[in-house]
Amino acid sequence: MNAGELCRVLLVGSVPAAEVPELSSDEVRAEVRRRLDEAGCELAYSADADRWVARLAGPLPHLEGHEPIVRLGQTELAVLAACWLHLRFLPAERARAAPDGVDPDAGDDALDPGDLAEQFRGRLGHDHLDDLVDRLKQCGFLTQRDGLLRAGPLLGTFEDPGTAEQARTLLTRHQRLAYLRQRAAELRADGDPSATD
Amino acid sequence: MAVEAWLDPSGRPADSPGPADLAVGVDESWPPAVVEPEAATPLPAVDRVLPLLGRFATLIGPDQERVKLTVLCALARQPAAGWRLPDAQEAVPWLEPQSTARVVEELSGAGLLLPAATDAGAWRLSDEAHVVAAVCSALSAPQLDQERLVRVLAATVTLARAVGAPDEAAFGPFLAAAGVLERDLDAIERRIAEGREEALLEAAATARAHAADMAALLQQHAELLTGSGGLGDAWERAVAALGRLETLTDDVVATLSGKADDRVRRGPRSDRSAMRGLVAASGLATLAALAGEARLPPAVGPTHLGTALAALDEHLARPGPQPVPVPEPAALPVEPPEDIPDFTTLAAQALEWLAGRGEAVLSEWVVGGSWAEATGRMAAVVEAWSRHGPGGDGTLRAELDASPVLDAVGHDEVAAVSRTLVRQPAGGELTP
Repeated sequence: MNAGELCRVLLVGSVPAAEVPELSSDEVRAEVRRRLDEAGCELAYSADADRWVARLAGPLPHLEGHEPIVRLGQTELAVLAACWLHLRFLPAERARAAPDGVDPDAGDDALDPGDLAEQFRGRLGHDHLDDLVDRLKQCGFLTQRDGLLRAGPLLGTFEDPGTAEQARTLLTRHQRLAYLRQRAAELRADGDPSATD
Repeated sequence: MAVEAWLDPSGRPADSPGPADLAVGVDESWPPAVVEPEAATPLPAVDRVLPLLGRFATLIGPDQERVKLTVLCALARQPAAGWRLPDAQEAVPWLEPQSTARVVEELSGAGLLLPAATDAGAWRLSDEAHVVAAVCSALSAPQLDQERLVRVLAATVTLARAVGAPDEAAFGPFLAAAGVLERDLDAIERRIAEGREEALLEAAATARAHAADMAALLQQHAELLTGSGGLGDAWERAVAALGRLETLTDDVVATLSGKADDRVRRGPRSDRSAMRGLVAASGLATLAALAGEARLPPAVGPTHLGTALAALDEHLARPGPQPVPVPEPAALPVEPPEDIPDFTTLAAQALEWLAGRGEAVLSEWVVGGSWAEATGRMAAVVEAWSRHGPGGDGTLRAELDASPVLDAVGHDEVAAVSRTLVRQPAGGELTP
């Protein structure tokens, strides 16, 4: 395939690296990148999935009458972030904490849709969540095997360097506030004779 | 009535002669005429403390109390030995001199100004006036700093005791201070629940200041508050609230500054449980912000109308569904009737065979093969029992005993079966 054909392939979906050996050439890859860049897209490689993907290189300008084929709203992004936390951030953090830098539970990164629904209980209904997950699967962010959700090729290219740090801050903040909630409840129970058995 | 007749520094009755310098048209300058913009005078500050000073209303009087208080505070800074009216007028340059004279007259009439003992024609403040002026000045801060609230209440407890007020006068401020601590606890818990870290730290800082002042109050006035006629229960609640507030504020500061991380996370920093908790506790907007601008895949695959039309043409060109021809007639084998076993007779024989074993469960014969076969055999048993059992011709040499118990089977497409025992009838004999 020449660079033009490669671009067309990539623009409609991810492709296994083995099926496009042309992209292992620096020259071809640079040409594909250049062409995609001119169209506002970029080339990315998902190491976990061993697939090449093309994706938009930046946010979409807002146009009133624009009808994008896929538009991720706040709810879809929230579900996407939750999946990313479980399927990408958590394994990376485990590896980061391991002495040898290797995730001891590597390969065990899957998320039960029922578990995900439980985490969004009260905010997203089961059917709504199923629709959102389907949309994320169509985009390539998620795949589903044996009933379990796994990282799709696009999720592997999703994070930027600041996102992991942002997630760590969020996690630390959540853990601290959860601890304080627990402490406040304990102290209130200690000071309230009616709260003890 | 001539002014000099009643403004006498010697404390004579109001109709007695007084200093001549007050005799200049004071009646014409009432209400007081302020000669400068009010914002440039101390009057607005006094306005803020007037409600607190309502208790002095009987001393000050209901008319023009703001001006009287302001003048009184200014006069409190005059030489203690005594001062004259021009000194007073100079001390309040923002007030028209005749108005100052009238205010001095009113204050004298209320007993707040007395003749100076050492200087005839001069005035001094009475002891009560000094207290009023001191309290007014002390409370003239532009606004009450929230952090100082308990300290101020504690000071009023001290003040009440200093002036020899009844003990009850100190109880009110103490209970109010205890209430401040309770509100601090509520505020901190509310901010923890809301997850507002900055506001939480601010609330903790204010609460810490309140707690320190409350600790000092409790220590300083322990004897009064816990003695007979004191507030034992309220004291204990205040001590408990103080301990809880100190612990919680310490926890808040240590936790949010990261000094308590070993207590916050007993397990690994990141595990599946931590992720679940994070997702469950975070708002959709917070999570969405984490995802940011997700880089979407560009588009769907190319589709040309010509290709679509060709596909449609190919689809339409497919042969339509044809009816399947009827199979050729074929002669079916006919078996003589005697070769077809009577299933009911077979069931009756099976029941007698089971009964011959002494006692057996019916499912041993019924279950086997498929579900359809099992139900067929069960139907045959029912039919055999009807025809040949006690209700039929009575020839069946077996007795059935059904009980409301389910036996698990788990094979041959049968999960469970109700228990029916097959026995030899009482007194019956088996035919060899």
